[in-house]
Amino acid sequence: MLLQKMLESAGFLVTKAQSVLDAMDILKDNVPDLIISDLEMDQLDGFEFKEILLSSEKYQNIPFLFLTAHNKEVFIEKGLSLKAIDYIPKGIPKEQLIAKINNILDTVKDQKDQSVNELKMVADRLNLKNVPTKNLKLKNFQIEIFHQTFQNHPGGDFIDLIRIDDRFTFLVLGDVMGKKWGAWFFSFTFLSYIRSAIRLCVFDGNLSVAKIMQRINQVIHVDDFLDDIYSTLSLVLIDDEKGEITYSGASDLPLLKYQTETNKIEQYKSKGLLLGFFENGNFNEQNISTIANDQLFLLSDGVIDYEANGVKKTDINLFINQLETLLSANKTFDEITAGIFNKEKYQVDDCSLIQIKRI
Amino acid sequence: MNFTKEISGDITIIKLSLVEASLNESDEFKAFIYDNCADVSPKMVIDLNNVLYMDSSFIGALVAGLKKVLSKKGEIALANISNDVMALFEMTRLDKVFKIYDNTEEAIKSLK
Repeated sequence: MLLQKMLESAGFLVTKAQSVLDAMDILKDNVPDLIISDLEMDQLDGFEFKEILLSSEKYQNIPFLFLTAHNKEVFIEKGLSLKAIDYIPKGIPKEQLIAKINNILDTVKDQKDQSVNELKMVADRLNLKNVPTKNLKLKNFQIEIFHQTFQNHPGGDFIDLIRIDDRFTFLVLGDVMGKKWGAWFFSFTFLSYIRSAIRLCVFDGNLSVAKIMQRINQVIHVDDFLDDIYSTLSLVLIDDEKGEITYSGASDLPLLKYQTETNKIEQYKSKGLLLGFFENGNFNEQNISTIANDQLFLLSDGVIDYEANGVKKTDINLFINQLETLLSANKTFDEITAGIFNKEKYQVDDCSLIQIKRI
Repeated sequence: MNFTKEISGDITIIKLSLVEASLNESDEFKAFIYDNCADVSPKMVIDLNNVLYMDSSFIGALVAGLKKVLSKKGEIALANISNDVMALFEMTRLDKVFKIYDNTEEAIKSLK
């Protein structure tokens, strides 16, 4: 109880367990940053607790400290052989305890950051990118891309601009359901299928975005590797010669069109279902007419998810209202993204926004 | 426990105690559904009464669970979806993929 009070007064959130079995029950719902365990307990002792944790992939890497009145070498050796990070003697002064815990947490964070940086460096060296680094200017359209990672980790959003010739360009925005590295890894598989399907359909003279979506859907549906991995997709074809746009989507968020004449945003909702879930994804396509200065927007779910006052929310109308206000004030794309995605809006996922502006 | 289950006849009723269902719980939830669909033609009701926010990772786990159950010729019905989560389901057409009911009684009835 004294230890709990000491830790809480130092700003740590503490959950107390009465026994190893109680602790295991708590761990099911809440994996902590650090465990401090007594050595001697009823039923199962601290060593047995640590052995149980080591046998679990989920719990084996939680930093672990023994709290003990013993300081005999035999205990210390046994504990350290079980990968306990350290011992702390009962009655340790508060300052020493807090310093020890902060050192452990800082070391764990440094190691994690180092691993992530190494992975990022490898990804950069291999030129693995799931979002283009350059915008694209066509004769009649200007395409600008905003992409923000979540907590500086790559994520499941993926974007591609596929220039077929001077006339036709495809625009792809997908979002693999998941977060961080796992979703990032699978985004490359989806991107490969999408690029191949678009190219093969174009070779066959097929420029229908709904039919191309169905081809992508078919191949993903039969791939066992993606058996329980799902992605949304927005697919847009720009005909730069005629100034026309066609759009199809798979469980994506609506395409938004801002009309300069009315200063209003209109939503285009697609009908298609999640890529690969059914053999037939029920895809439709919509032709979207534009005049000079009209702007279309594609968005991933990270754009409309946010956290305020500790509560997470999804609100597309809030985003549309903000966007409408900024567009009505003739703000540029950079000004719009800086106005919406800033420190005041706490992001909870990676987010992507693509603007297609009719010149 | 984030998820609990009760059995009513041949139907498993899974109740989520989470307010925010997200990445942290998604793998565990998928495993929980998989573990509970060992039988032929499993029938499940998932009670989302407490869930006010659901992220794409958790939706992915829910969809993976549905696919598993459908592959065994079973059925899943969702109940008590909050307005915000329902709006997200409608926006992304997941309301066309899942059977959705106002409460667990109606969901159970639909599977009988």
